[in-house]
Amino acid sequence: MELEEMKVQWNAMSQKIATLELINDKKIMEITQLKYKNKFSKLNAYERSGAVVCFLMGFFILFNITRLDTWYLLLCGIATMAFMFILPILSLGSLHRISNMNLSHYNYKEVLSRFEKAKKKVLLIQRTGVVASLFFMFLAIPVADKLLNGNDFFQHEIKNSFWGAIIFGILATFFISRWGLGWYKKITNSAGDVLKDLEE
Amino acid sequence: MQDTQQFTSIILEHRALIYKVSRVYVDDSEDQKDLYQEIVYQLWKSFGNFKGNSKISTWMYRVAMNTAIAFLNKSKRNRSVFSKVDFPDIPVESTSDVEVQTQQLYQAIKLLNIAERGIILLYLEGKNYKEVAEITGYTESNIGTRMARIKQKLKELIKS
Repeated sequence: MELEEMKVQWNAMSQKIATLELINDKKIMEITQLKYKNKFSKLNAYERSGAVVCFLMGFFILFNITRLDTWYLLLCGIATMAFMFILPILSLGSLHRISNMNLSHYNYKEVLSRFEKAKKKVLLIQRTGVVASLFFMFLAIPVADKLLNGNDFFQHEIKNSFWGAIIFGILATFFISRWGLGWYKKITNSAGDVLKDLEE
Repeated sequence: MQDTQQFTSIILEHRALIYKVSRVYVDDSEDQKDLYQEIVYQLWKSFGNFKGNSKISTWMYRVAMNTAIAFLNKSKRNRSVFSKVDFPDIPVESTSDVEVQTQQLYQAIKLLNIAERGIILLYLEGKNYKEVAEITGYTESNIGTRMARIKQKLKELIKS
């Protein structure tokens, strides 16, 4: 089929569509009114609940920081707390930039380019977050042991079962990192192709 | 109120434009309905900023196509914001020869990349290279080069 034939066919289809109701004024009003009310109801709900949990944990450490009475526990506490505050802010910030992009301000090419770049950034933050959270899990254990049980984790003999958990954690970190990086590479390569095509 | 009435009449007048954009970008009829509504909402949101510097249809294509990109970049769970609105079904074509061909054409267009999909949609809608360039942000000469590539791709896709 030649392009001109396609155009003729497209016109015929367009004429047919023009006769359909598709939408009415009542529905248009409903959409404009309902959307304002529901705008924040579902958007990024999982990410926002995750952030709330992280902030609560971060504040719990902050309010109990004086109970971390050795330099190494204090160091673990500060690092864990920083992680609990910084990662959700980065993650929500990048999602917020995507969902609040002004779609009438940019042309098609700019929007495509911005989305591809934003997608790469969000993925990088999310994947880094997964790997980093496994690392921070090890830092959080002594902090939690001290704040919840009053024990100095580093002064106690480590039980065999705990060693098992540590080995499992290291293996999980290794495989999840590999999966995360492979996946990230695949997606960013595809985003890179789109960006390259846009620049042509 | 004047704005709302004006907006409603513009949407009703250009309802087919929104439908065609929705169909070109997504397959599933539920997704098409969601995208249709999302486009109407985005048009409403930016209606106040439309200064009349370009044709209303040019502005509508720009917002509608940009919304489609945004829609494709959202996860499924973040799409259904209009669950309470009983939106009419997007009609599905019957099986006459012309409609089968139209269906094939839609399918072939969907196999193009996003940038190409936008360009061919505007071309089929009767926009000249200058208008396509204005909406997409590419130069007119670049549109010409891309059109030649798209033409070849579509020919092969429809043949196969």
